[in-house]
This record gives sequence, C-alpha cells and structure tokens, in this order.
Amino acid sequence: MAKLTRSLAAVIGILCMTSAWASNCDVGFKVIFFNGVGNTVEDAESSKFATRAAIRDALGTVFDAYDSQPVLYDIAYNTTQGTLNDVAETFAMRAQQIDPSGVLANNFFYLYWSYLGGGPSQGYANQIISSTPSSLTVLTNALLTLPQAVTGLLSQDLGTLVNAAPTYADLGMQQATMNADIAGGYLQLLVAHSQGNLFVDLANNYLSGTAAIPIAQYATVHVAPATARLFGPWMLSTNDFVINGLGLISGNIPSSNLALPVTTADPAGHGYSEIYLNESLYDHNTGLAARTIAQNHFTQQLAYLDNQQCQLQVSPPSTTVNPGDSVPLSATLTPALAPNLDTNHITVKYKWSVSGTIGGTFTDPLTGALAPTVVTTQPNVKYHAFNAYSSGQSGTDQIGVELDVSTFDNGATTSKVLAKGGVATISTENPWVGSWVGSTVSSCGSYSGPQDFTITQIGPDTLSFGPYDATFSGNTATVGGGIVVFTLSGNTISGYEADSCQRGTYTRVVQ
Amino acid sequence: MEMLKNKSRLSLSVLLITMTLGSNTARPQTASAAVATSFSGLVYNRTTQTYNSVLTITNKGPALTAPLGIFISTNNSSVTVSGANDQGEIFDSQLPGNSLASGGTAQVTVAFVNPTKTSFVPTARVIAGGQMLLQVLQSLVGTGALPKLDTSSSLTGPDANQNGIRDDIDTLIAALPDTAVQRAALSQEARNLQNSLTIDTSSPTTLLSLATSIDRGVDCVYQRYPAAMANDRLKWIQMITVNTMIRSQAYNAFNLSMNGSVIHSHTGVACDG
Repeated sequence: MAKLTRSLAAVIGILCMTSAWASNCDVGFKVIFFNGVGNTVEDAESSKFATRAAIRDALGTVFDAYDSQPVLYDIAYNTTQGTLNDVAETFAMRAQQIDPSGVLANNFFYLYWSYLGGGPSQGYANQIISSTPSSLTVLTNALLTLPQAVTGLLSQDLGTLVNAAPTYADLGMQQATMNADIAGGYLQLLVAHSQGNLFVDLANNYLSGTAAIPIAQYATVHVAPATARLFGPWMLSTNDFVINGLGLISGNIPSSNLALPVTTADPAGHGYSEIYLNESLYDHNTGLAARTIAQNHFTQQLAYLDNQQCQLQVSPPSTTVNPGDSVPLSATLTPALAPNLDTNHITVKYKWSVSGTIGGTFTDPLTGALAPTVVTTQPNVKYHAFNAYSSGQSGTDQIGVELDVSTFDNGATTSKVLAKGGVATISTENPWVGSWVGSTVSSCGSYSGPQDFTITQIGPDTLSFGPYDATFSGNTATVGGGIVVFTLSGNTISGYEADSCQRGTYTRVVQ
Repeated sequence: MEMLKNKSRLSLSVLLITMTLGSNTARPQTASAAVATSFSGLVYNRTTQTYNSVLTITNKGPALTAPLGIFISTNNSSVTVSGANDQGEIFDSQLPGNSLASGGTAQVTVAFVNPTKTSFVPTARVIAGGQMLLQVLQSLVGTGALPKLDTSSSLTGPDANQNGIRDDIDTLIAALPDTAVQRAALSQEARNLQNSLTIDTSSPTTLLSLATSIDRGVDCVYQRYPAAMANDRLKWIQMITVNTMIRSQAYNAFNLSMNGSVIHSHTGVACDG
C-alpha cells in the first residue's frame, strides 16, 4: 500500500512537472519546527534542538545527516497576541489577591513560568508547596498549581486560532522559506506542536495546492495537535489538559493515542520536551517511552521522504564513432536537481566510468588527463574513442555514470549514491578507419618525409588509403599482393614498401 | 514609584489585634487601625469544660485573603486555646469567597481551656494567609531553596561587571554544580535574553541578529548538556531573567515581533567559548 502511495506520488510528480515547483530529485532534508502555544522564541529553539537530539540519538550519530544527506533545522515561529501576557497577568492577579501588599506578585513573579509547561519553575512551585504548612494549602494551590484559568486560557487561545484559522498571509515569510527550501533541493519534514499544527495544516494546503509539490517531497509529524485534520503520524496524550480543553471548545481534536502519566513536572501535560519528548514517561498502551515513540515517527517520515526514485540517463544513449573521435556525453537526472541547490551543505558529483573493447577514456576536467574513470561536478563529460585495441575489429565501450550526493558536518563527510544506472554504448568503426599522420624513410633514394593517410573502408575487406587501396585482414593490410604491407598496432600503423625501401610509422589523429 | 506603593500596602496587610479578657469578662482592648476586634462575653460550656467566646474581626483595610492566622496567647500559662497549634495559632479558612472584604467582618469561636479557673488576659494577633505564605517564600529564599533575584524597576537590572548579564543571574549561574563550560553556555544564553529586553523591535536586522544569537546559544546549551537537562536549564535562565512584569512585557514584545518569522539554524560554531 505504501508503495502504491509512493507510486501515485511519483505519477503526481510527473504530472506536476509543469507547475510552479516541479518535482525535484532532492538531496537533503529540512526539518521545520512549528512551535506550540505560549512558546517564546527560546522555547521554540529548545524544542527544535530537542527534536534534533532525538533524531540524532535515534540514528546513533552526532551528524546532522540522514542517509548521507544533510538534515537542517528551521523554526517557523508563531505566537498569539497576548498569550504570554495573559498568563503573566493571571499569576500577578492571583498573587495580588493573596497578598495585597504586592510583594508576593513582585518578588516571586517568576513563578508564573510554571503555568507555561513546567520546568524548573514548576520545581520551585513544588518545593514551595511541600514547604508550606497545610493550613496554607488553599493559598499555595491558588497561586502555584496550574489553574484551570490558565489551561482554559491556552485552550481558548488555541480555539480562537481554530475558529479564525491562519491564512497564507499569516505564513508570511514561512511560505517563502518553504519555496526556497524546495528550490534548494530539500525534502521537508514538518514537525508541529500544539498551535503549530494549525500552521502546518495551512502549510500542507500550500505545498499540495498552490505550490503543487508532490506529496512524496514533504511529510508531517503532529505533536499534541490542535486540529483534527492530520497529514501524518500524531501524538496526543489522554492527559494533555490543554488539548482536552480545546476539545471542549472546538470539538475538533484527534483521538488521543498515548496514555502518558500525569507528572508534576508539567501538570498541564502539554509540554513538547516535558511530555512528548520525555524519555521517562511511558505510554501505558505500548510500554514505550514518549521520546521513543516520537523518534520512531521522525525516522519513519525521513525514511519515507528518502524513498524517492531518481533516475539517471546518458545522452546520447548510443553512438557510433570512428576510432580516435570524441563524443560529448551528458547525464540527465529525472527528476532534475533543484534549481538553486544549497551548495553550502550539499555537494553532488557525477562519477563516470568506461569499460569495453575500445578502451576509451574521459578527459579529467581538472587535470586534462585522459582516464577511464573521472569525477565531474557538472553533468557533462567528453569521451574519447582513442585507446587502442588490437583485434583489428570494431569495438564497443559501455559508459556508466552515477550521481553521488555528500554532506559535510562536524568534520566528517558522508556520501551516498543518489542515482545510478546511467549507461551509454559507444561503438567504433573499423579500427583502420581514421586519419593518420607520420613519415616515411627510404633507404634506397625514394621519397623520405611526411606522409599522411585518411583511411576509409570501401569494402568488407578493402580499405582506401587514398593513393591506393588495400586488402585487410585483422591487423594486416596489404597493397598489390604484398608490395606494401601495413600493420596496425593500437593507434600506430607501421608500413613497409619493398620496392621503394620505405618504412613509415603513422599515428592516429585524435578528433 | 510602584514599589513604594507596594511597601505601603505591606504595612497595612500585617494585622495586629490586641484585646484582653479579665476574669471571665470581655473587655475590648486597642485594635490596630486596619482591623477592629471584639470578643463576646465568655460562656462556660460544662460539656467541654471550656470558656467560649466569639472573636469578631472587622476589616478596616484592604481585603484579606483566607486563611486568617489568628494567634491567641494569654498571660496565664495555664490557659490554652482549644484547637490551636503549638504556636497558639488557629486558622479561619471559612471566609466566604476565601477573603475578608474591606469593611467585612468574620467571627471565630475561641474556646479557652482554663483548668485553674483563674483570670487571664489573652492577646490576639492576626495575620492574613498571604502574609504567611510570603513569609514562607522569603524563608526559602533565605535558605537558597528559591533564587534571590533582582526585582528592581529597571529592565536590565544591575550589571556591575558589564558583561551583559544581570549580576544576580551571574551569581546564580556561578553557584550551579555544573561544569565550567556548561555554565559558560548558560551565560551565553543569559546574555541573549538580557538583550531581548531592550532590543529595538522595529529593526528587522537587529531582531534577526538576536534570533540567530539565541539559536547559537540554545545550540550551545544542547551541545553541553543532555537534552532533557538542556531544556530545563534554558527555561531556568528564561525564568530568572524575565522575573518582573515589566521585563515580561518587554520580553513579550520581542517574541511578538518575531511572530511569523523563520529562524534558520546558524552556521559555524555555536559556543562563544
């Protein structure tokens, strides 16, 4: 079924070749993190790097690479007007009610952070609760335990977003960035937490609609989704009180699929790192740690994206040339590489090789030397049917090319074959055929000096040397029943004419 | 100016009520200006063998939060208050709406155990629950269990060594049991957050530059701590930096100005040192 889906994706990709963003043969991954409700920039950054750490750990590497292709991480930051202020003011108001002097609200204002996803502020709150006489429990609860008002506020903010869904205008530069990533040759893994799912919903619409990107080129992982419309695997805990609260407001949340325990570290049960990437919270259903489940989703989606099929072809696919001639060859990738490949992180190389009876060679673009294998950064190479063969018969060379992609990270380079199988066949004519230059020397007063031939084949066993015709068999050609004898050895012809005491040597002219 | 007002409120919220009873007859004593109190006449309950009186507290100041801590002592060591804790304190958590509104009254029945049946003079001291909680928190600051933070009205606070980090945050980072390089990573990020409080939010270039610095700072912390601990440390730095309302408002302004943006991963080395 998955294969069918991907095949369909490939078909769609071909159909979309005429769209604004045709399918690319992508060579890297961009993980775009869409942050949750009430997140600061630093919170979003922390979640992004927590995602990176989870993926690195899952792959057992310290490199930002998957299958030898670069993995880069971006943040699509979104925040809601007033959420952070509202939460802070909720705390301040409660503190002021408890202590009208204002000292509590001023000196211990920082405790409001405990309302926003736990962490050390929650640790302080828990310590205060445990250090306070039971007679004050009603106050510490009022001040420090996550008030319904806050989960309600976060849920309400999410509900507001649901009801007034973000538009493409809200995506702003995030949309432009996605375009740039596509043009840069990246497959996109969209990871969304909480309200970020509303923006990912929009991003999916954009990518599949306006941008007409084949679905094989982007994937999504939803964490604590604030919307029921899903585009990939999701994680939602039964004890996520923010999303549960949203469900009461909008009635439009997905079913929970994790039974993670309630933790004092994050009483709202909604934190990205505190809950969903927590390696110590185990899902009652599967027995797996939340972080392990997240890692599985991340790596499965990367594998899905990495399953693209890129093909390489060489043109012209077959050529017949005269020995000594050159043939320009060009490799064509289908689908093509992205137009603005991110060369800061990605290197592509074409590896050419030749084998066969001709023994042809390529011109090394760096050294100019001729070699049977060569690496180029551009898809073009020049083949020479120059090298010798001794059979005196026509020859054939097989050209092979593969496209390797590599990335450099943490001082190490990894590479993989992005596409291979590009082949071409080059055949040569009769090895006698071609232009030859050389000289002859007579030991009995006949002509000595330069002598050139242009040899053509005029019959099954007959060659024209220009001034005279010759009968050839294998590497030997004779004129006049043996008056003149030519011997072919690779790219050299030696000749002897008995009646003029001439001996000559000629080499092939390379085109 | 706001701090002065707060201090003024503080003096009003500490309630001291003193009254005496003599020879089983209630005689009202001087009460504080904020609260007036009165005991009803003592009634001997033969069943419980206690002298009962109703203490009426009238709030003449700002609203008081429940529970009210009522400390009752007497000048007669043989007289105790039934139901009081070791400190002679009883609580009233039954205030309607959990508070005693300005001008409101509360009544508490006080039962005195007086086995020698001799005269005594009780003294009552009432502290609002919020004050008691505040005292608990301040004591935790004193022991180091809670951080001692600058709460001045300045956005940036004192920075004597001019390293771009508030002095109290410097002190707290230095006191962590972490390695030197880990603490250096936290300082790097603390500097970023400090900058966010005073950044020109109208300048996209400046915002982008700071966002990139934060990206580097957070990356650095993640490079030097296990992931779960990195997240905790980052939230801690954020919490102690953004620790007053005006700092919170400034910080929110920065975050709001980043709304809809894309923050790319930095290139190059994450850590300053």
